[in-house]
Amino acid sequence: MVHGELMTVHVGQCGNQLAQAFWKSMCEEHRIDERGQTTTERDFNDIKEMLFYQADDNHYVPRAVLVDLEPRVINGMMQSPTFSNLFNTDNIFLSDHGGGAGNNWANGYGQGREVQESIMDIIVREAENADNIEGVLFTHSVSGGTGSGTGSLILERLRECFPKKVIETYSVFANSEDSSTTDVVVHPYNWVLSMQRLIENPDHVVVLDNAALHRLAAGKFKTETPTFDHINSLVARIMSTSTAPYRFNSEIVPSIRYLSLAPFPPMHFIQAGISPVVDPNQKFTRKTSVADVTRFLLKPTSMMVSTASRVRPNDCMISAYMWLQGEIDPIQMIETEHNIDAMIRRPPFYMTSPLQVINAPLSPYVKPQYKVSGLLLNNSTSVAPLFEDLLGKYDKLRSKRAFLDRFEKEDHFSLEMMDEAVHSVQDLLDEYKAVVQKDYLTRGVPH
Amino acid sequence: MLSPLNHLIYGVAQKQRRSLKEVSTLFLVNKEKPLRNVEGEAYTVDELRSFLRDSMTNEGLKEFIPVVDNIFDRLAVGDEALTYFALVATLSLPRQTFVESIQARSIAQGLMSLFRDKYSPVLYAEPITISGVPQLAWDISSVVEKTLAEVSPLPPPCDLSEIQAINEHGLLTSEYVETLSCEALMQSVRKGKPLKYGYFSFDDYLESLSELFGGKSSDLFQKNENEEFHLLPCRVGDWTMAMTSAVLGQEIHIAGKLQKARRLWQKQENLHSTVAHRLCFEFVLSEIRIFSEFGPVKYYAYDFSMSTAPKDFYVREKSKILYDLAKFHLQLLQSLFQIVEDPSLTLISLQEIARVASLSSLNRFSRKPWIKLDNFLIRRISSIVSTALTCSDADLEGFFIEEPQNQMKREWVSIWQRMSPLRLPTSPNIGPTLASYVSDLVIAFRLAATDNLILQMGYTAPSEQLSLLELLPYSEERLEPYLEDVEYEKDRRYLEECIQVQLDKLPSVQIIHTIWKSFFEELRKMFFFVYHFFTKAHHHFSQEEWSKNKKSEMKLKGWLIGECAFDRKLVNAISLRDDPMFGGFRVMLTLTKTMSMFMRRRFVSCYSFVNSLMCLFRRSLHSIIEAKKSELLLIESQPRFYLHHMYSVVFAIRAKMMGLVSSAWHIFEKKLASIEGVGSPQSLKEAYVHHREFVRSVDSAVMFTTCRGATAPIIKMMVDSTVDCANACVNDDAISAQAHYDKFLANFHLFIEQCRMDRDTYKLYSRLDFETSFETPGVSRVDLKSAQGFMEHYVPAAEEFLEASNPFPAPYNEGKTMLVNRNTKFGNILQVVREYFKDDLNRFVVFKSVDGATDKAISCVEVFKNQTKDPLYQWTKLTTAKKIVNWKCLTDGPRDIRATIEFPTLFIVVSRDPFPGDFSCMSMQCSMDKEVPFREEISGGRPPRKSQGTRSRGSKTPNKWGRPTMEQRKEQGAKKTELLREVDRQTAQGN
Repeated sequence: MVHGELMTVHVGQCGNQLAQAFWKSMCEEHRIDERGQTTTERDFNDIKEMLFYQADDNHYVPRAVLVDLEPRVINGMMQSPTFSNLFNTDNIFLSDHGGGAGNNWANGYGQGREVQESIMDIIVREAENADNIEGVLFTHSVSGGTGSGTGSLILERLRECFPKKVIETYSVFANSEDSSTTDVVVHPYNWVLSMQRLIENPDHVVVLDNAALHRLAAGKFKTETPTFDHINSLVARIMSTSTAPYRFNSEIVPSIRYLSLAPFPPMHFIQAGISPVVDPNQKFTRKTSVADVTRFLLKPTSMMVSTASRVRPNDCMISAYMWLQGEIDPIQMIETEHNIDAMIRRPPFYMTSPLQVINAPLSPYVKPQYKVSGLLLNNSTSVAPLFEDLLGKYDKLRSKRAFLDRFEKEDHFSLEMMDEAVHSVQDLLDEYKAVVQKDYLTRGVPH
Repeated sequence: MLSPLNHLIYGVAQKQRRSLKEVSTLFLVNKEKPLRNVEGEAYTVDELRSFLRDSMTNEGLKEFIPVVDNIFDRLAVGDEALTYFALVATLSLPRQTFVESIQARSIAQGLMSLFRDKYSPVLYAEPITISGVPQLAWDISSVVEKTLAEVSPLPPPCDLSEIQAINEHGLLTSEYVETLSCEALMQSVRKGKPLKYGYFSFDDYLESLSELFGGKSSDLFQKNENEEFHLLPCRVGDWTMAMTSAVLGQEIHIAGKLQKARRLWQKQENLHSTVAHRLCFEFVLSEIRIFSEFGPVKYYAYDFSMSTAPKDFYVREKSKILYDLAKFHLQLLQSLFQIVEDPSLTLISLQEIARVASLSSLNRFSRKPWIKLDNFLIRRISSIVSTALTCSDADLEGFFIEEPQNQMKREWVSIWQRMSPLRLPTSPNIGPTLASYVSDLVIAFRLAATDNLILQMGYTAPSEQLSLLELLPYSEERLEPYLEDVEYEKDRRYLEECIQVQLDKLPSVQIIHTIWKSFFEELRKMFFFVYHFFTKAHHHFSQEEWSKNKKSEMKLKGWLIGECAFDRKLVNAISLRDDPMFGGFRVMLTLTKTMSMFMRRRFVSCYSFVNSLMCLFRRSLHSIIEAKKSELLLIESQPRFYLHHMYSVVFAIRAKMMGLVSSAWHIFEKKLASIEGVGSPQSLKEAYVHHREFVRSVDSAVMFTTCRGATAPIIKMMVDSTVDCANACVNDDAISAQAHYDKFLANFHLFIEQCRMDRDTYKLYSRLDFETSFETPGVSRVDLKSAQGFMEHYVPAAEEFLEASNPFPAPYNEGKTMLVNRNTKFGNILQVVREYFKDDLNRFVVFKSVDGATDKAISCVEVFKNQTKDPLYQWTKLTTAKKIVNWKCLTDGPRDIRATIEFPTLFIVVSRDPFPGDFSCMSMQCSMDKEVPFREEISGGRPPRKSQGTRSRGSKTPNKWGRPTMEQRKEQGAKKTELLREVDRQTAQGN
């Protein structure tokens, strides 16, 4: 009746791998075993209904919808003991022909158009089963075929279906610096086409960059070649910390609607950073303090987006939320807030600091590894260079008309869609440039 | 004073008043300052006695040895220090004196008899003893006097014969203290250790004690900060017994030694002998017990058969004393009884009286009256408490006395301590365990009777005990016969059996623990409920929903009980109260009597304030969230920014407040979990204290009572303006949105002003205030960066300099103008001016400051005026010179900048003629003007400086620090060269 619920939708290979990591940590945090049963007595502050659907007294089912056009990843998931009895098999959509989208946005979009009804049926059914659904968490990658193509279609339909709900996506962008870690040659095309839908439909887009994730994992996990498990665990940690206040009954932010990360709508691309970054399999013995965590998080290199090298002097923070978990002394928090105000650059017409530092609750069942840990969700103009680079790569490919035939051969696809998408991305980049100017609010208004 | 000592030396007959000086030095040698042998070891009493015996044997006083032994034995029983002293004194007597005196005195005292030149001890003869101190059978007064003359380590500061012990403030005078060189005495005075042998006058003590309990003002020994005993007039209610009771305790035990007891005996001569005998027996036993604290005790071998009449002199003495003691205690208790019947005595006094009186209970003969008094006190106290438990909060507050913040620390007495007089450790009838059983029982079941809470807790108990519970309101009546039934004549063992039988009938301690534990759990649940309900419930339903209709209220309560698993009773205690300030309702709690002891009305108001505040915030945030989807915002970005700014400010304030509240709650929870001994009343008190601290921190977090309680209306105004602005946006009204936004800013300023009153809260919210945040170095640094970044694109293109023109009217605007620069030397300029003025036709000069050297120009003119004897007229004017720089922008877009820099330029006309009258103004002056008061001295010549005066006193020698003149220098130089030439010549020759 009274707590808003969240739903998750996972599309594509990357999206479903993220689903694995995410739900695994959710089950740990809410003490639900592989069969969906609770093992301990319920703590007053634990709101399992936020993400789980209560089928029976002790039986909880994740409110997740898994979509993929090829069965490999999902079948792999369902065969592992961790998940085989957890998910509701009705919520899994696998396409009949099982061929995937071949890293082709148009293919994915076209296939999606055919099967959108069945997918939306699942989603709407889940939404109606919940008392009061408030938001949808969406995970996918933007450089592939299913995640970007079908994902874009589903985003559009979601927005049509739930015009007033919060849609938050966790979009994995391909590496833009070093092309050795991506194997998709046409990822700029896929990216630009999905960007248009990402600009128009969700409320927030958490930008996750494979290169940055690799870099952080390699640096902190002490491996030369971090596996996807490591990286997915990082992303799962971001997702879990950002939903922790809703799931554990925080007094300050009890619902996802209270998050005001995107005051100026087209600019809702958010960078995330966590501290401390550790291998969950290793023991962590260093003590962290509030000052350490905030200092680390405010460095540009700790964001999971590779923009550190391209930081421009007038990049400013439009809005940000820093969640701190653990044993936090309120006096320390006040001091830290005062100190960090000096470190942040805000748009010139802003009157207060854009950063809110909030204490987020921890799971009452899991003993925390670190004394203080934090997550920063930062809506800053420094994402723009990433997009500019990608746009540059797109231009290079487009000018040579490379690989366009694959796209054109799909039905209902025309190159105008790509041009339109490019325009919307350009508009976005202009907005980012304009927001750092003093007259952002008054431009265009005759005085 | 020191009557035992007196008696020891001089006997009863001689009651000489000795001066303090003599008296004090008598104790130079005693147990604390023993005699030492050559090796430095102290002689023990036994060693000394054996010495004495040996010496007596040598002197042929063998027959006297038993007498002497007897005397010392008696003395040793009572007073080791005196023994030591007597021994030493005896040993230091010259032998002949000793022999003579012992022979003489022992016969005089009837201890020895002389028959045919043979001395023999008289059978059954005992020395006269007063206060346990026998009189010596020999005379040591000569030693004493000699000792006085020989050894007086502390020369008294003044004539001690007339020394005053107590000064006008009632404090011991320092001189008196100095004369006390006795260790024990000094220790007693300094450290407050009670004197074991009563060297202070007990008469005063007892009199004041009985006066105290008589309700009159009493003078008592108390200790002040300097550890001095002093006498203080006070009343019963104010009397603190902290220190006095320690002293009192010991002294009353030895009350038997007092002469007053004897006086009492003397008044009652018709005492029956068997009574006396029995009293003797008991007295002796108790004496043994008391004195066994102070050292090994010899048992008296008495014949205790009741039939024999007391013939023995010693026994008679003892019984007299004993009777005195008995009478004293009886009187004390009787008078106490009269006092405690006074209904206006408070709990504190009652308990204190009980405690003091119980000290008398050590003596068995006073047991029965003590029992009665004790009983009475229990009844009084528990009736007070039971009436209190059914009364309102205000009266109950008297029980929870907090430790006062002021300097004088009083004992912290809690409700539980006061309600258990039976806890007194000294009551022998009722041991401490039983006492605590009974008191806990009484209290617990009283609570149960008034509030069925405990009986419903559902603990399992044997049915017999359960049936007893029903009788519990009558528990006191059940206790009474038990208390009165005890016959003190019977053996103590039997007494204990009786106690045990009664105990088996009463419920066991297990139940009591269970009761306290359940009570504590209830309390904890209540705290949990109140906190969670008031801080989180508002998320899930607004107050409008509460107040809509009964049905929705029922539904919500059902949710609270079912989903959140709160206790039904607690949820039903929620009620709504109309509150115009918050525009609607305020949620209040009506709790049961016992629970409301711990959750006072003020706490509940604080909680419900938190709730209302959070509801307000919620309303504001929700309205903004709704407005974000409005059409207006798609078109215009200004309202979007307004909404975002208001949202972030309100969110931040709310987050800060709730953050503080929730961290205070976590601390409180931890403290509750760490309370030890949950099954005791003490834990309840601790829980109450922790909860009170928690409410205080919540209070400061939401500024409920701080900031003069004005925070709430301001926050309400802020919230209202946000809601209005949001609504305006929804209605596509940009202009009123702006107006509401401005109002919001104004209200927010008010809020910050409120916060300024308290530095801590101000720190919390100051970063939200944009005006102050612009002052912080962080922002200015940012601005500077942006400014510099800004100016990167600019280069200066053109520059213009506009000179300042002479502002004076004709004829002063032309003519010789002297330019005064920053580096100008006055001498040069003024030389030119003087030359110029040599010509009489030149009447004026204009001084102009260049490049901002205005001060230099002024000084120059002043110097000139000083140096010139003629009167000079001056006119001063200030203008500006301008420098205009045009900056061109390198990048397209922004405009070029024209910067104007102004420099001040001073023009001063100095003229030999006065200025024409038309021009006269305030900035004209003449050098001969004498109105300036301090100018007289200067113009009249300076007063001679002292240094010049001293010099002029007559040293014709030149200043030795002065530099050498030119001739002197040349001389010296010539000398030096001459010397060098010499040296060269010599070395050349030498080579």
